[in-house]
Amino acid sequence: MAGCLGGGSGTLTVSTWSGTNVEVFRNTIKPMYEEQTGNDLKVVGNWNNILGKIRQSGGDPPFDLTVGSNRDHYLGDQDDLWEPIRYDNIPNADTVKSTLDNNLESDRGVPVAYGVMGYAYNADEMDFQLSSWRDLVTQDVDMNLALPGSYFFNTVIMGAIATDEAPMEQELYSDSQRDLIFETLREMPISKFYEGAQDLWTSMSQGVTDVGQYFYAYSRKRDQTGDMNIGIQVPDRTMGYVDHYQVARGSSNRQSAEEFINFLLQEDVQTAYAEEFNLGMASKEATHPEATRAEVPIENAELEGNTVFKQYSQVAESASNLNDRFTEFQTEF
Amino acid sequence: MSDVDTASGTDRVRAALQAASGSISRTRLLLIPLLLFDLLVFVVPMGYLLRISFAKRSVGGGALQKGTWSFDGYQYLLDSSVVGTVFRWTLLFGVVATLLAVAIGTLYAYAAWRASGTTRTILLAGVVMSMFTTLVVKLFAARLMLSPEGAVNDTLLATGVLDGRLLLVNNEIGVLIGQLYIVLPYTVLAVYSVLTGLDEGLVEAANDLGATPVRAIREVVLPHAVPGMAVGGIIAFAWSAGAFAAPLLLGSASERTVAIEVQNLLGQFNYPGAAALAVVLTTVVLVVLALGIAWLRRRGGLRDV
Repeated sequence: MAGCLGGGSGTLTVSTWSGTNVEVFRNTIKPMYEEQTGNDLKVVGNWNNILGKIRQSGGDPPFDLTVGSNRDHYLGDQDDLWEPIRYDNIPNADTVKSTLDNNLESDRGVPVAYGVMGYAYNADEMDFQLSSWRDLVTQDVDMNLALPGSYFFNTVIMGAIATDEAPMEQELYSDSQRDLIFETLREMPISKFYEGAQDLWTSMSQGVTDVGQYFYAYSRKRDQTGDMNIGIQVPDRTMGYVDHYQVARGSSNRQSAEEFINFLLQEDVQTAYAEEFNLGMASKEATHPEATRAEVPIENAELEGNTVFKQYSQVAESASNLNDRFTEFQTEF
Repeated sequence: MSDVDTASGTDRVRAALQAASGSISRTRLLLIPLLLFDLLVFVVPMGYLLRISFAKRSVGGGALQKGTWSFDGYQYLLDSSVVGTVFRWTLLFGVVATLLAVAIGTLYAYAAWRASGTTRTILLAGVVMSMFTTLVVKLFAARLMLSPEGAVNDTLLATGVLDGRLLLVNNEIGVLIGQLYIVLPYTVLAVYSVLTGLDEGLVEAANDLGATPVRAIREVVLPHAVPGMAVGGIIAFAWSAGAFAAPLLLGSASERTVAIEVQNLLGQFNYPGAAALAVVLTTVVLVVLALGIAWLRRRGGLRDV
């Protein structure tokens, strides 16, 4: 057993989102962790098929703990793919903002960071004026809007917020009001449903679209590292996601994995993470850079009132139907 | 005839039969690795796919429940408001792409066949080189070329052919161009391969006997090219019915094919539904393939390809 404090064997392996997250974990978090604990940390990137990799592992998962979307967490929970979290090993969980803590309806995942959706636009091509999702239907806007097409969640929640018939996204949970969401979306200047970030940025740089709904932190990173001048604006009321970390069933490093989650919630680690990537951090004690504070709700009260964090459990029963409707809707454009 | 002659004749027949039998056994032995390869690479995965299509979905919305039997996957296809539309669009797209591929491929192959020397080499190299390039790279290049800010629009604007930019991606035009980019080399080579068996003197003779060039092509070249066109068409249809990359990279959400829908269902962890859809599409493609081969056999043209 190499360097694991809490039992188990070998190196601790953490799976996080491919792309910027993996880079931050490798370049910033891994050195901090290894220096502080003397343990070895292996960071792997994943985007799709996280659950499939655990299911197919025959009880010996390819990573000890993993990030996952709210939907990944829910479906994994149903299939018993996560170990219950032993909060005694994660005292820093007490610092987590309550809005994020309530995002999961299980005790098998711990929030570490979160992101919010905004308008990303080609700043060389347009002067952007909108400040809410509702503006897309009430203002006379001349734009080619790109929306995420691979799954219904982000677009439909945005449609619900813009519909404004019920508080925030409540239309989504009412069968009778779901039609209103799609009617609202129909009024928007949609030109494309994109499949992944590369599709969005290529479409924007090639003049197919000029505005896209995309994550604030990733848009900002793209602006800093790419050759396109990207403007980013987060509406006051928007949707977001929480990066939960969960311990994979069958991990031989369960104790170390929980201690690693505790490490991720340390004030200095959260602050270092926030410096490298403009996500909101789950801990109340984290310090965020100005660029994040300007667009991302940080305080719990702001989050609670203005951000809809996706909760798959609330739409699980109607998810298949909603996705079919969304797919059908996309073919209208 | 003496008894000795009779015995010797019988021995010869027995020896010949044994030799033939040995030869057949050796042929069978040689076939075993190929049959094993077919079994492992084609039959087993298809059998597994078929099995998954008859499994029950996991209770929690997960992939599937192992060991269960159910028609849920096929029932989903019938109940879904999307699958029917996607299937119809895919088949229509497959037919249109096939017709265009065969028409353009035949013209191209004819041009290559009639050309000589360097021109022929360049025409054939153009087709073959295209097949050496990775699909995604090829289509991504096409996307950059065809986009509003791309080289095609720039050229058309600069030469005064257009006075505004054309949208050639994110629509069905882009998808068709992308798909033709993929399948055209196969149809060209299929048609070209049968044209190489045609004596060019026959075309000259038709011209000498007063046939116009168009009539000579219609009555001499095309009948000979039909087996190649059929094979090229079958390949183009099989590729196009299963199109994934071109609609994804060059199309919009309206150009949704069965393959994209399968991916969508996998993303929803509906493995039985995805497998059922894949089985239905594979069956349609196999039926078209079987009909094509049967037609070629009846026509006696299979040996020409």
